[in-house]
Amino acid sequence: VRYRTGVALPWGIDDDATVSDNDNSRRGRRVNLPELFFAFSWLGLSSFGGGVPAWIHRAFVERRRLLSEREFAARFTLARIMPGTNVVNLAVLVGYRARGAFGAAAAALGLLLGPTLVSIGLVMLYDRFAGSTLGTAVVKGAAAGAAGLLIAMAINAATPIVSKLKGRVEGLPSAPFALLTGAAVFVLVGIVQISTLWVVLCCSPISIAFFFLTSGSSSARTGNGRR
Amino acid sequence: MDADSRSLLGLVLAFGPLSLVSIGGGPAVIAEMQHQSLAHGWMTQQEFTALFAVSRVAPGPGALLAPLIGWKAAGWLGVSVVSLAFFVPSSILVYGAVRVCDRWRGSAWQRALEAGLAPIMIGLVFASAYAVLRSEADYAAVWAIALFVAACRLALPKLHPLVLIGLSAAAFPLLNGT
Repeated sequence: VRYRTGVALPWGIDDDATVSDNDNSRRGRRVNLPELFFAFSWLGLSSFGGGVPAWIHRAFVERRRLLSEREFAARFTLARIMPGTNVVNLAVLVGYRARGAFGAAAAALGLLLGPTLVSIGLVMLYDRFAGSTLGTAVVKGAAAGAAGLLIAMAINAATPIVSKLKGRVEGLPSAPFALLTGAAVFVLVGIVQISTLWVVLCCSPISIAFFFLTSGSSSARTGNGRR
Repeated sequence: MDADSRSLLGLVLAFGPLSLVSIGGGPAVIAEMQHQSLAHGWMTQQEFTALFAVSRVAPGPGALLAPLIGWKAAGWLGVSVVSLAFFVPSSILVYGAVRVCDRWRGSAWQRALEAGLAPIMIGLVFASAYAVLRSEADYAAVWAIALFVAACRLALPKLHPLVLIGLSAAAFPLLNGT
């Protein structure tokens, strides 16, 4: 299973996850702390170019049966909504499910420690060749490509909003407002160069409040057909 | 206070708050990381570009750019300090959220949070890409590569992203005649 930010996952995002915790509280065998640490170390070290949530799903939902599909979907949604690196958040939530606070710490530490050491090794390697013109040019090219991947990630995340604007998707209210907010954040942070901290602290309450108010009225209009 | 502890304090003050506004993860706050790194004099633009490239090529989440900045700024101590400052606050927040979220899971609040934060994340990620590209503005080749990679990624989602970064690394010296 491959995962791209902004694209619906195969297991979907489940709104009806409230019933799952009790159904599946006794699943499979327990996962101990070293096993959590090493499982997440392996996930971190083997994840080149993203896709970690899909591997976490395979390791802990399909193989170890620690969580049900619904629990995983609910935790994945939470990991994406909350600030912080999505994968680290997901590791914290899966680790917490397995072994409480220590499990959360073991999972996050496992995920980050190995890749941090590898990255520092790569930077040391780069520093040895930093003087050469070719080395500098190669790194600039790689950085340009990586920036291109960021653009693709943002476009993918914006696609559902644009589709909604063209009337192709239901259930996502106020696409013009969302596009305007996105554009405003880009201009403020990217071009005017106001601190990200202030932009997020000012814009997110407005945006969340707007969607809370409009979604309330739209679900009333459609008779709240979900349940 | 000596220079080293001032630098460590600067790292904590820069990355601690950033942890709590990194909506959608590391990519959202790269622009701010670049700004802080240059403003504090932790590194040159060229060094930052290199760290950014490494963080995208290396295994693990791209947010490992943060500890790499700590390493450049203050060595191993910097790595530890930045890792704690950048990963712990958001982890505690999500840890606290999962303990209370059962009550509002699937509610209108959750949908409003998701719909409301999505455009902000999108704007921040565009700003991050722009911040990296703007610093190399003299090179038309940099922009050409970035837009080409973005188009390829969207058109060929099955192609591994590392292949695109590898091609970009090879293409720039050729395009620029190095």
